[in-house]
Amino acid sequence: MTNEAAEALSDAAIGWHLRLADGSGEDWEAFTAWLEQSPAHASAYDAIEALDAEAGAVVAAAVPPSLVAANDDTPVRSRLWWFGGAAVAASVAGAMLLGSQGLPGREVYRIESRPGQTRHVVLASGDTITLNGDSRVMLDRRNVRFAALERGEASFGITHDAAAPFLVEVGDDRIQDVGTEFNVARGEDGVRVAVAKGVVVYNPGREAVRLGAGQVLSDPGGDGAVVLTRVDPANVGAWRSGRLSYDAAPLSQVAVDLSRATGQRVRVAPALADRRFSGTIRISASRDVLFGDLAQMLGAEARREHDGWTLVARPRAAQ
Amino acid sequence: MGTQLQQTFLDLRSALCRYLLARGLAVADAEDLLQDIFIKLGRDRGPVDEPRAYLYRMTHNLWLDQRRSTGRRMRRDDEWAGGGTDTAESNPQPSSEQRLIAREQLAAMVAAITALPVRTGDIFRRYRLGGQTQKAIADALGISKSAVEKHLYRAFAVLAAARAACDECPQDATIAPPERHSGREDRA
Repeated sequence: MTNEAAEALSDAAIGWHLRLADGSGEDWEAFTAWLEQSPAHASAYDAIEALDAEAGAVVAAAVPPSLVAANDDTPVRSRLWWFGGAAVAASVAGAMLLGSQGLPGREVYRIESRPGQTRHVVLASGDTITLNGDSRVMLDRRNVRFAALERGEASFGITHDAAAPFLVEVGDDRIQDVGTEFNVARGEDGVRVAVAKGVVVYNPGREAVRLGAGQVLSDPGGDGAVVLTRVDPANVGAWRSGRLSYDAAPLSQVAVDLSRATGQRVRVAPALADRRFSGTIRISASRDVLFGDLAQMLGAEARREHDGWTLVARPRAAQ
Repeated sequence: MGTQLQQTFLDLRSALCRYLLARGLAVADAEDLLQDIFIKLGRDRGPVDEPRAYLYRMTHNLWLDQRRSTGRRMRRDDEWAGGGTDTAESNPQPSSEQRLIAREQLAAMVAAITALPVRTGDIFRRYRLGGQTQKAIADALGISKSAVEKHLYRAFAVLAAARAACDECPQDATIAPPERHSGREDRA
């Protein structure tokens, strides 16, 4: 078969696949007749069906454009700092001094943020760390080129110094900057590193994965696969301007982030916990609009409760 | 006296059998499968929108299930007979490096989707990730269903071309496929 013939056949199979998705009995009859014309028709159709089975994963891994409620085409550019605006200027002075924690040569202290609060930290070196809500980072007074993310999410703006690379520890994992802006999140689903500018090296002594601008690394920990995906560099750390960007994130993670960012408890019904979400959520919207839009995109329902929100599956007609 | 769907099924039985034969099933196997369906239909399933399309879809899905499990069984038997061959399946945990390389190979498909026009990408995402029907998407975006179909057609064509170009690459399930959600699971 020539390439064109194969392509034409594949196109026909796509047409059938889409037509049958909500086709009538007559469509299926016509489809049967088409199958009977040649065994090649059946193989072409099977190939498209198999492709469709993979498509969810592929489209999930593809970078979504900033999403936008269906009826809203205005790009989201406002820097409203909806949450934690007043806390942005929080300085190291407010940090809790913990003493040496038994580590020789270290004088560590913690900086924490409450859910819904953002904190901006300027280190003595001029480097900056912005903490998302409900997050905790440990710093060392004697070593300004070090930070450990103990919980939550932080964005780093680091000046490169070849003689003293900046090191971020996340549990057992390490991220070494090569002069850069990057975002690190730590949650139950592992570690996620996204780079806005420059280059970082993930676990220099082990996997030594170099990440450039626009790359995202997700490490579920344990034996799970380390996966690289791409993101619009402008969306890295977008939570700092009231936006949460996702690329096929499980809803359970979205819920954790929303709780972090809004300070309201957000739960997900177990039936939805593994569903994937891609797109950008604008935190600056009113809560009703935010959860309403989000639920609609997910084909779910947002239920308001006394202390927050729960996303539940929408009942569907029998399949 | 059977259920309403069983009644429709009996009317449609020979057409469904013809479908299974077109799918390459032997007559006896097709009859067995149809018998299974008839029994399943005995349980009340609530009202169904398009009963005939529903029965075709059900037949198709059961046929797929059967083919999949037969395929698995044959592969297992092969491996057993081969005394444990060194296939990719027998080494379920490749190093993270291998995983990263395999990931690169699917990048072509991801890139193809990423390069779609924004509207097309959005519609494809709603369809595949959001699980919305073509009609629901058309309603949400205020466009016709055939316009939605055209966008989806384009997305699948681009994806199929990208995969055809990448067919030489060893395939590896590196992108963890999101769980497929059937309507049943969602009815919490």
